[in-house]
Amino acid sequence: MLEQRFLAVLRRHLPLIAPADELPSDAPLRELGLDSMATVRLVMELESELGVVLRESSLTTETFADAASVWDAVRKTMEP
Amino acid sequence: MTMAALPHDFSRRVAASRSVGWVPLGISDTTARALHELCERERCDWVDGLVTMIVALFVRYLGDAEVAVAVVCGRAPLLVRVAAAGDTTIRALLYHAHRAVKAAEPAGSGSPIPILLEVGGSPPPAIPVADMSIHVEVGRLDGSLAFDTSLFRRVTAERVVSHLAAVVAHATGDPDQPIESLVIEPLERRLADVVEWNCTDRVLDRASCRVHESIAAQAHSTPDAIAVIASGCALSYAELERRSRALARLLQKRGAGPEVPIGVCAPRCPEAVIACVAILRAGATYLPLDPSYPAARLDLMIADAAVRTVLVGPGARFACPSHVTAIALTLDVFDGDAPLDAAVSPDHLAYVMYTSGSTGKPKGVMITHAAVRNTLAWMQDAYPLRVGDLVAHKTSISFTDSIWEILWPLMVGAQLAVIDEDKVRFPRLLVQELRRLRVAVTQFVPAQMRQFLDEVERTGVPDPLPDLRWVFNGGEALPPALAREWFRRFPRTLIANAYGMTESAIYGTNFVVEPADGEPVVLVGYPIANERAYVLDRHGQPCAPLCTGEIYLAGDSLARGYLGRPDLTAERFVPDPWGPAGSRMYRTGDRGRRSSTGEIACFGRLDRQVKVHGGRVELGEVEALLARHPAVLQAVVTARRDGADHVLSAYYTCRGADPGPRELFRFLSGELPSYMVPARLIAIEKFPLTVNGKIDRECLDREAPAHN
Repeated sequence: MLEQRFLAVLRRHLPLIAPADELPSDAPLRELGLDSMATVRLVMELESELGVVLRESSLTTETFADAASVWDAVRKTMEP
Repeated sequence: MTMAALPHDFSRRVAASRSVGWVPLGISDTTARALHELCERERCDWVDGLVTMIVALFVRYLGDAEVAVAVVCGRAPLLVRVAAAGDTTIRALLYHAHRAVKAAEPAGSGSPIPILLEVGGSPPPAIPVADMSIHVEVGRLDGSLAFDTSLFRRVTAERVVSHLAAVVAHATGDPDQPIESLVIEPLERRLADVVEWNCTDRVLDRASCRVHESIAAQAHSTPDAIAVIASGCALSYAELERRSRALARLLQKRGAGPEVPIGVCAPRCPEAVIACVAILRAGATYLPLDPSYPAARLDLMIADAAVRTVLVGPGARFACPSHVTAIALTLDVFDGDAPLDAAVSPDHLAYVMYTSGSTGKPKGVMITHAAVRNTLAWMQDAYPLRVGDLVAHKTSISFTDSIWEILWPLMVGAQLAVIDEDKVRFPRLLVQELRRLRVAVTQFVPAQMRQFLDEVERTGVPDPLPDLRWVFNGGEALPPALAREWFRRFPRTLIANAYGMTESAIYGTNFVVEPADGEPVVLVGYPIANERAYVLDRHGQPCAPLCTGEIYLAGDSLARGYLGRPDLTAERFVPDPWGPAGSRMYRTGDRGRRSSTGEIACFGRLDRQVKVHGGRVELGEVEALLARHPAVLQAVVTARRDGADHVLSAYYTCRGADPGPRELFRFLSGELPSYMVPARLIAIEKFPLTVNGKIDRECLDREAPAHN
């Protein structure tokens, strides 16, 4: 459920993927149109929509490489 | 067409205390009679004639415009709407005005009225009924102009009155002339203003006109002070001196000297700072190469500038072309004691900076030591850095603004703090880093400032950066609302709204935005030291204040021109008729105007250049490149405003099957820096055309699907 909401938010920030297209978890997000400004907007929206606060250690370029690594960062916020 | 508003001196505030100022019109009976006779000849009313004169003045101020004049003539106010262009003749305009007055509808209440005309009215009101209002009797022009003092200075109202008088005199003298040829201010007065507003001569610490000498002198006087800090590393001035000298000597052995370009391919790092200083000390020309750019782009620059040596920073991927020598940068360079001598003069190049070119190829802007030295010395004069002050280095070395982040602090004994890429990207980390380092000066492009303020808002920490004295706005125009929000969070940090471009060695004019009661009017101000700024009409003559024209910059900070492009250099750098003999001025392509007190406001472009994330993009360059894809027939790139930023969209037609947006994105990403690659790529059947048969760009953005 949470993952679905996560994917919905993420896809909103990927202008180069059509609604019908599949989003492979290892597809480079940069190639789907996620630039540096969009990354920051994505962080703010993930946090407000999912009610989480990403760890500062997750705020790196690598975290936003693909969908899997962003999802990892979201899940980490729920670990103790 | 834009709905016309007079150029205000102060922004409109809802709660402003408003009062009325008065300026007598003082237009002679002879001139009034001439207008009256013109109206009678054309079978028009006095009101028609007055509306004509007001609309003509607005068109002289704003160019093509649709003007709404509220008219009070014995009855309830009517709203008269007239559209006119610069080539509309006075006689035609009078006819339009006549019909518009007949078709006028009652003015609604609520929204502000930019201009009101009252004929034969009652005693003047005590509170403003419009931004400006003109009160006359039938057949007479010796009435007065009232202005809202919360919007205009008296001098501005006085200028408007003198312009109106000139419009009436000239328009009635020859009603068949187009509006644009009306002389609203005599040339002598405009020239006198040009002289007065460009009195910028200033001797700026001429101890050394070569940038690196100031840095060496600083190292001599404060050897133990910290010059550069980065994560896990701090360099003293003595170390900077020793290392840059050693590297400079190494470069000289390899043939570095005046006018020899040496590339630096590195992310922001202490090594790149040393490399920049070393190249200048060797007497050579610094040529920054951003490692995040595609190899094809870097190859273009290297070939264009005939670069033979590239210094490669740690962690930079650099595909070295075969005829180029790559030298890995390290902090441990062998240091000999031999003296360093570089026969470089102030007129030799300090750096070459590449920027987007409209024809599909980047162009290299050549900046001399004298030019960059003038800008940096002005910065120190206007925004004095103290020893130990910390300047954030957070701009990619391929942008012109990085030049001051690197050189300015080192010339005056301040500290340069290299901010990591992730910290620049994520505002949450940036706030903390700037706070931890106690940064005194930094810069943002508006879109970044927006995100930065959003983060500060989210955390709610009051006054998070107490040491920050100045924030420079860069890249593009600062929205007034953003400035207001900045001051709400950072009341002690003034905004330096310096304006300029790569071709003017970063800056040409300067305006300090200070906290005000309401929304500050954001101008770009007056020229900086030893610089001149002009607003010229299409004939190359100075515009009167309040009139829109093109901004030109001239003076000591001007670039030598474009590397290997004498044609383009001659087109953009033209003789400056008002400067010293032989001097040139640069056509910025920016639209602007002067206020009645001479400060320049800048709004938008005359051509198809836009700023994306603060980076300069010629839409034509992206179009030319996209059309080079074998499957693309024709491409049009548009820029849509998105808050404080722009979003690029590419529309294309195909030769056969659509290669798809992702293929084209990959293709463009292989050639262009990421900020130049459109966020949206949309295949269309054919381009919509305007009535004139040109591609209708606005229609593209309006009708394209939000998603691919």
